[in-house]
Amino acid sequence: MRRAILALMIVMLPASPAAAGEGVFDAETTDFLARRDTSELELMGVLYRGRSAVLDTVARQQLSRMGLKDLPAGVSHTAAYLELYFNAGAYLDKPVLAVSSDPLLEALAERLDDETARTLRETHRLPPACVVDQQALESMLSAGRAGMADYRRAAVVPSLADALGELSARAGLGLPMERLAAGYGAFLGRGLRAAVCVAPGKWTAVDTALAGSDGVDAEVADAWCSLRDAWRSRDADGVKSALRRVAELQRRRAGERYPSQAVRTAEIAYNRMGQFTFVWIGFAAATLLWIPATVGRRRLRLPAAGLTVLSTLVLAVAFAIRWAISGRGLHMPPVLNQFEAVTASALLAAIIALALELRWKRGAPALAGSFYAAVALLCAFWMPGRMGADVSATHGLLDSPLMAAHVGVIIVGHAAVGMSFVLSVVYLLAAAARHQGQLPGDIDRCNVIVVHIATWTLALGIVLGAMWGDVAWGRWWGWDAKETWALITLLVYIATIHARLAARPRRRGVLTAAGCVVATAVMLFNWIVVNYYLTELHGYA
Amino acid sequence: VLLVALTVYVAVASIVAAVGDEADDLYRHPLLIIISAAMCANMLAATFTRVPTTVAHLGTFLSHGGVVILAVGAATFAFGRVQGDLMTVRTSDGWTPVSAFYINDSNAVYVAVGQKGDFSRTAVNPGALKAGRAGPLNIADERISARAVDYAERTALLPVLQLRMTDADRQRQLELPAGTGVSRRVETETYVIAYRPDIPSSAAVRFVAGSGPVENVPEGKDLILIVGGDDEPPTALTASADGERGRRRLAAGEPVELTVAGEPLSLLLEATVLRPPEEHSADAPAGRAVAVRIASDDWQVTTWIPYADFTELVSGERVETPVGPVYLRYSRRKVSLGGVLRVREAEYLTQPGSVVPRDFRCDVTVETPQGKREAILGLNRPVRIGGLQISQGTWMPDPHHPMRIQLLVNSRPGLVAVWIGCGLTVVGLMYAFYVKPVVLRRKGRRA
Repeated sequence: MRRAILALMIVMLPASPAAAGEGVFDAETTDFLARRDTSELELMGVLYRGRSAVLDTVARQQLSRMGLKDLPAGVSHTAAYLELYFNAGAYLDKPVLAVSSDPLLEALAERLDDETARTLRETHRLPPACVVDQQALESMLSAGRAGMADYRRAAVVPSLADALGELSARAGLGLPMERLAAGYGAFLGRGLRAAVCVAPGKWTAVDTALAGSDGVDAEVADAWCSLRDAWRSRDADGVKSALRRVAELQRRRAGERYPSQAVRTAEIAYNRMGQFTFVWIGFAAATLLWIPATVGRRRLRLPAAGLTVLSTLVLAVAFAIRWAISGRGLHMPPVLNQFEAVTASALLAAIIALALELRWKRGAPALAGSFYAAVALLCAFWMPGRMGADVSATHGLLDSPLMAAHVGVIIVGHAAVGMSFVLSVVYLLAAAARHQGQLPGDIDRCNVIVVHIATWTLALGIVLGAMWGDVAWGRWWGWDAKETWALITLLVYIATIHARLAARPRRRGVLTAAGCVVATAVMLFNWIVVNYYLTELHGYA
Repeated sequence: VLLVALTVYVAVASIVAAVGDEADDLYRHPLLIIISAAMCANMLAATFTRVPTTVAHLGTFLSHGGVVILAVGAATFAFGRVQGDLMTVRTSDGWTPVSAFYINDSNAVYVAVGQKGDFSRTAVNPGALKAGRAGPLNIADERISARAVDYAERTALLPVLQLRMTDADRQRQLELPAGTGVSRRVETETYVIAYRPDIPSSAAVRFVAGSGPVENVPEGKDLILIVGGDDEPPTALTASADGERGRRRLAAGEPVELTVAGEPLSLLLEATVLRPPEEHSADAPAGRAVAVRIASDDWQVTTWIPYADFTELVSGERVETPVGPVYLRYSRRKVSLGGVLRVREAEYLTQPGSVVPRDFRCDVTVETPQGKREAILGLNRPVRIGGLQISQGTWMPDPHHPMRIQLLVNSRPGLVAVWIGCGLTVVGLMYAFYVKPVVLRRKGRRA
């Protein structure tokens, strides 16, 4: 049994991808980067995507856009990002930008010379010089991030500028082209558009500071230029002192609005832990313990409960950190995109499960909560980009306590729906196996409690959403696909409750379980099909 | 069974609405109304006949009663609601005051005779026009009449010149549609005449400066090419087979003399009207249009008027008539706001260092018969005038330099019933789930 569990966990662990950064940085550069202590700069607060963030977050997200998630050993994300930024000219003709789709790769390769096409096919990366435009080159020159030699080298790389528009419009290439464009934007340094504080509340681009443009005082410009020059000339001592100067100036200029050391440190930890989605392993292990504990091996209840509590606490810490670093204020918990909704529903399912377990002491609710949390977090773990793992600013329309209450209550409902699904499947399996013990009755009673939670929270959540819709758009109901399918989920539960009341006692459990399975299917339809294909007004949710 | 039927109907309607555009029709369909009404009736009957009237069952009464009240409120909202939007435009004197808004599902034709700006309005029903039932339009001049006679759901309107051409032998009435195709030009024994409003008259200089044969014109024939877009009077360019070039500006009602095939030709532009093309091309831009016939005792002209969401954004189609120019606009029906709303300042705020919108804020003054007040209209901060709620719903085309602001206007009939119904339903559910077991347990213990 233990071997089987171990084998399962190894299979479910993500395969370690190749260190993508090794193909971009040569040995000498890797050595220079690995020796740099950029911790002060990693912790430096910058303005990014509408919120205060640490530079580490910017570096990770911008490198991720270029397809450089995994770096050579010892090289920090901030060092790698600053290398690509300050030394941009040196990388213009190197394969840096990831091309994520094979059809796009072939379409690009057809338009390149033999050597560049071969490199593209081997590395799945495109030199930025293929897509760079004149304005961007001139901007790099004026910021001192590229020299004339780089400019001349880039000029001989075949340009794809004429083909980009046509390829973007071609069916099936739109999304890969968008990703390539995002990578290109990251290479140009768009992540640093508001990274230099020149006065409290006034931020500007690093390019502007390097070019010494108006509005940037001489001290700030000089500090950033020193850092750039020391970096480009591989002057270790110069880099060290310039890093300190830049970080100190940033703190002084930003004044009281600068995020606290605790929040910035927490953000670094949050990044390094990959948003803590690895906690799915804890919940999966807890589930494996809760299965035997529920069917009779009571001695496993304590370790199962301990593991569930521990996983829940870690997830709660992750939730609290995300809330703090999002800067959205106390009235806006992090529940505004799919990643946040899914991870919050995992946390809430675990809390509901533990609360019921405390009262019920049968194992079934904890089994359901742990399993649901494990599956939800596994989705977030595998698809962080697709689900929106990056913390970003909130659309002003969503910045409302009514909205937060609406989403929060609906997420409790979704957590209960997920739990009821697990309980229902276990009940149906037990019924199919004609289990004679206490288990089916226990699970059915627990399921009814969870169904009640799901029903009233969905109803209350829909009402709160209607109240917000009335304030935001002047209409409390609009038959938008998302709200319609939330209503359908509620209707399925109401139908299930009424069917249970009308059914013979022997059939109540099966009817309830079947209704819960249908409700979960409806909820998943809402999460997947509606979110990605039918969404109208809830497009930003 | 009724609950399942309602669920299935709503699920199917949601998917059909997502792939089509008839959402409103689906959710106002008689079948949905019948299912909902039957469910409410069934629920009331079952509650009062089968549920004991005890404290323990109070939750059932509350939630079922709540659903019925909610259904009444929802029906009132669905069938009594007025939904639309208003627009204010920035001028040198500030934002224009707004006293009316446009209703979404009601169309109107606006007609002004003689001078722009004094438009009379008549509601028109596209359904009736589609069925061939013409509608008379209000017009402030007894010498002429106007009537909406046709409707097209999707068409790209084509400008058509109505010309009268007179040479030594005869007089010819001609309708010349715009376009490049051979089918759209008119060919006689001696000349070819075509209309290209997409060529600005400034480009005619190059044409006139050229010499030699003209492309796509049969050998030995002259060409009359009329050019000029919407914002400028048309110009007639002539090119004779022997290389002579000519250029004359056209004005409605004023004949010009041309020389074609060595003979004098009088060309009179009577009117420029819009028509749907005979063959609709697949890539024609979506657009509604209504055909209006203007007539006097001995004269009539029919022109198509393209639809515009806001009359403020279009100058209107101009039709020359014996009593002077008539201006026509086709838009939505305007309804009074019950007061005057004036934007004093408009501000578009983004999240710091980002393009994500934070707020779209307007400082407004509202004047009603009850008095004058100032308010802030922003995201999640609507302003109310009487029974109407005005919200920020859509963005300006250029948020940082707004030239016009569009605001949502909604009436919300039945809202009180909706909130009461929602409240009773949720409280009833909580009571049934959590209070009823306690009441029954206590009752059991007492027994």
